Amino acid sequence: MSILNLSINGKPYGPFDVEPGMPMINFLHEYVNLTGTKFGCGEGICHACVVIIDNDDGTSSTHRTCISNVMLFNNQRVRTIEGHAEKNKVGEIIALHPVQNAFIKNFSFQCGWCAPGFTNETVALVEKLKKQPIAKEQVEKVIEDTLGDHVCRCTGYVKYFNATKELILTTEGLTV
Amino acid sequence: MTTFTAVENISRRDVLKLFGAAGGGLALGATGLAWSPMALAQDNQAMMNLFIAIGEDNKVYLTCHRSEMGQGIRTGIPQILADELEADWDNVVVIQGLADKRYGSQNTDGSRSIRKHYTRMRQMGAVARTMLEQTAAAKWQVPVSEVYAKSSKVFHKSSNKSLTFGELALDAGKQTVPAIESVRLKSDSDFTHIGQSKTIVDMQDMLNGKAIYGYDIKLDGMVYASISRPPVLGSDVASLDDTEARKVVGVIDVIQLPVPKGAPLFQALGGVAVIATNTWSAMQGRKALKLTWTASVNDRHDTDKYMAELVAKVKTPGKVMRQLGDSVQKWPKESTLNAVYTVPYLTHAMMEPPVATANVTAQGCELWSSTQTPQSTQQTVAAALGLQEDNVKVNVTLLGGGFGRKSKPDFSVEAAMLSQRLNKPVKVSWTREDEIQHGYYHAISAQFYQAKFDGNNKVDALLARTGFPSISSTFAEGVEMPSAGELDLGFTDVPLALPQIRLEAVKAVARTRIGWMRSVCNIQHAFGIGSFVDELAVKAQKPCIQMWREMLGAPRKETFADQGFSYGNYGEELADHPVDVARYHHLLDVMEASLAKQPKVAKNQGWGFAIHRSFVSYVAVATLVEVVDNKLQVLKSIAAIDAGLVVNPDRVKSQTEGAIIFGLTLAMMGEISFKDGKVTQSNFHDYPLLRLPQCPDIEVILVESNAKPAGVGEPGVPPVAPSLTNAIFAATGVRYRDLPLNKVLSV
Repeated sequence: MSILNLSINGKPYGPFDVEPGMPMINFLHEYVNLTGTKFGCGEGICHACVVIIDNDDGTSSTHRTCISNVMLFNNQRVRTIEGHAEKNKVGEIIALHPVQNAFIKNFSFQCGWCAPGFTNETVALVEKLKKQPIAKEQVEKVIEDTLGDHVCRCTGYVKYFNATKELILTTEGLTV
Repeated sequence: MTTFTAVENISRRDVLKLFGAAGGGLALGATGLAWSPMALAQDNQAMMNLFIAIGEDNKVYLTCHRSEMGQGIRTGIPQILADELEADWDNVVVIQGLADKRYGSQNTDGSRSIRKHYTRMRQMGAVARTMLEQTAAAKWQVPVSEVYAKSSKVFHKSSNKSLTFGELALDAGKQTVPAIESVRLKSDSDFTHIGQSKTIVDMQDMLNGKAIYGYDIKLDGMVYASISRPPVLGSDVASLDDTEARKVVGVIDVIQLPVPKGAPLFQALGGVAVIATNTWSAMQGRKALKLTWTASVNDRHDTDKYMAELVAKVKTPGKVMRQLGDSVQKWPKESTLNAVYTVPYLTHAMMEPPVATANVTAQGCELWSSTQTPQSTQQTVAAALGLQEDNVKVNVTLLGGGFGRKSKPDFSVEAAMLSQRLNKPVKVSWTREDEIQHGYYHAISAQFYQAKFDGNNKVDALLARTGFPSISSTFAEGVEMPSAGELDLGFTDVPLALPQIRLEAVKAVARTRIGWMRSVCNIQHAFGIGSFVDELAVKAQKPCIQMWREMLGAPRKETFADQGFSYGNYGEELADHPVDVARYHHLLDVMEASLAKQPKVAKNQGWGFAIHRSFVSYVAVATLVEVVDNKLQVLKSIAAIDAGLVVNPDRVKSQTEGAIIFGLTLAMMGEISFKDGKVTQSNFHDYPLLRLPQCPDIEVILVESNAKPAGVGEPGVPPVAPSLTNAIFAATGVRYRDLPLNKVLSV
């Protein structure tokens, strides 16, 4: 067994005795009851299970939890789909993240299974663009490159794409 | 500022309460499960009928008895109920219905949730509204004709005084329920919720990790199972050594499940289940099993050989299913044109694999299942456990996609059987490999088409044959012919107005479980006829749309009279949902006008077109492609859909967009193949799904219609594949008649 400590959505978790080799997604579901991260393939192909790690240098990166050993997240700061909305002191949601608002406004998904992965990837992209704005003419390619690995079986991708494009182009500081 | 959806969703806590999970289980009666269809109906709420309860707090609880898998039915059904009820959408709480025969059919497939329940839901809303109006009139001692309901209140017309639904609810609930025939339904022009693009009610929860799917169920004391199933249909465990599996940390038990005999039905496949304290340990234990399997009659199933045999069969006479005019033998020997089209096995690949959790106690079984068919789940589980159906409670979670796979409750049976054996809650989560290798597959198929022209360059005779293993083989041994119901799906029911038509079916033995997948046999049949009409158009040097006009003939309501063919029409009366050739023509006109506005195609580009009626809706699709150096890029898809009256326009658009992606995926890269009786694919690396960079621009045209509501979830799929291959022909001059295209093109 291995001992795991980590932060998830700003809250400390641990120590846990975890099975060696257990994927992070199983830990999230079965140890801390955070079921918003979705299992799609178990091979890192569909990216439904993506979460965010906030690095010490101020950058963030996305990771596929179905193929990542839970111990890779030891002492890391992790963000999952449960952590994006703003909540009050009793945990009630009082405001959604702009990415969530954009996806709702554009009816971006249907069954919702791929939505957490798309949302985490887009949140990380928006945060990156705040630090490293891009030219407007680059926006479509950057979205395609960023979201191109994520599989959605229900929707036509168009609404995810349009929502992300609109958000980037209308949010001050993301483009130059 | 808030941008939340106006509909109040039940919270996670409420969902768990609804499912009975928070309290550690459901209330079990001594003689049966004592649950209400309206699980939240309490003392301060009035149940107006099976679908509607109203609380003193003015909340309106509307039950959706159909399964939500992305199509938006948990929004659509409440929209209809709320409209006739005159409920304020802000006060609506959506409740998920349990398996219960009182709801009528809950089978959420066949694109029928709205078309089959539209009128009934309106009546339910109107009955409850009438009871509220009568209650208010009695309180004010005025004739009921002087009151009206609006925005969750009842108003007195002359004085404008009002009472809220909440103030009226408990008294209204005591009223005699008026006869459905006696209540007034609104005119379409007065609709307030129907016809509105309301945001799906679960959207915010889905974006915050609060929505509850089958994979998300966790019960106290629950254990996890991973099952190694027979790799070939009909094989059984020959030898089992579980020594190493039992050494895996976390593994609790290893249980052999029986392999059912006879037709597969909805039974569990059997095999060996490894039980553990967590999913990972169960999977590791499964990997450590040393298993051999017995021989099966299906051991030699090889799709290359099977398809070659099927193609040969459709070139020889079969059983005549529909005939008009002289027999084919009198046709000229030199046919003008003939072609054979093939489609491989396909699987559903919904994003959430099958999953169910069961808790069997001495009193009964409670299930939490990602199911499209709660009642057949209830029936099949009861039979497997030896229980009365009333002692099986089925909670329907959200579904991460379904596409027909989750209509088959085999995975729920597995969970229930294991829970019964272990006497504790058991969760069975299928892996992606499980889903791809143990499906109910869309049938492998071949279609032969032959036609001749008259002296005026018009087609006057058509012969077609179709061959595929039947879905009926899943339910009865020895079935070798497609059923009439399957042939109705886009083969026998195409209303071509030709002097001579002969449509035949040939035998095909099933070697695996055959099931229904989004749009079912319409997939292969639309690919056949949609491709062949284009080939005829090319031969005649006419636009494809013009060829369709000619072959469909004059606008009429086709009844197929005197053609030896009784049409099932998706379970609908022809009087309600006729085969209306005028609606085909209108779509042809709509698409022709749309294409006329498109920019001129560049070199290596081409448009393709196809049209198809299925699930009593009509869909035309035009596709623009570019092919350069054998690389296919789909640039644009235009779909025009006539689905009759539309309850939620965005849902129809979204479903149609999704249907285009689904159709492109199967046409470009969908293939399940068998070797030595086993599925050769295992995950998304070899059963790929279309991704964003491969996705075209999509335009959906909703055709306004006063016709009765028709199917939406499936009808968009069938015309996609032929419109794509027709487009490739237009761009390259090369005709592809065998799917998927990634065998010959880079996609």
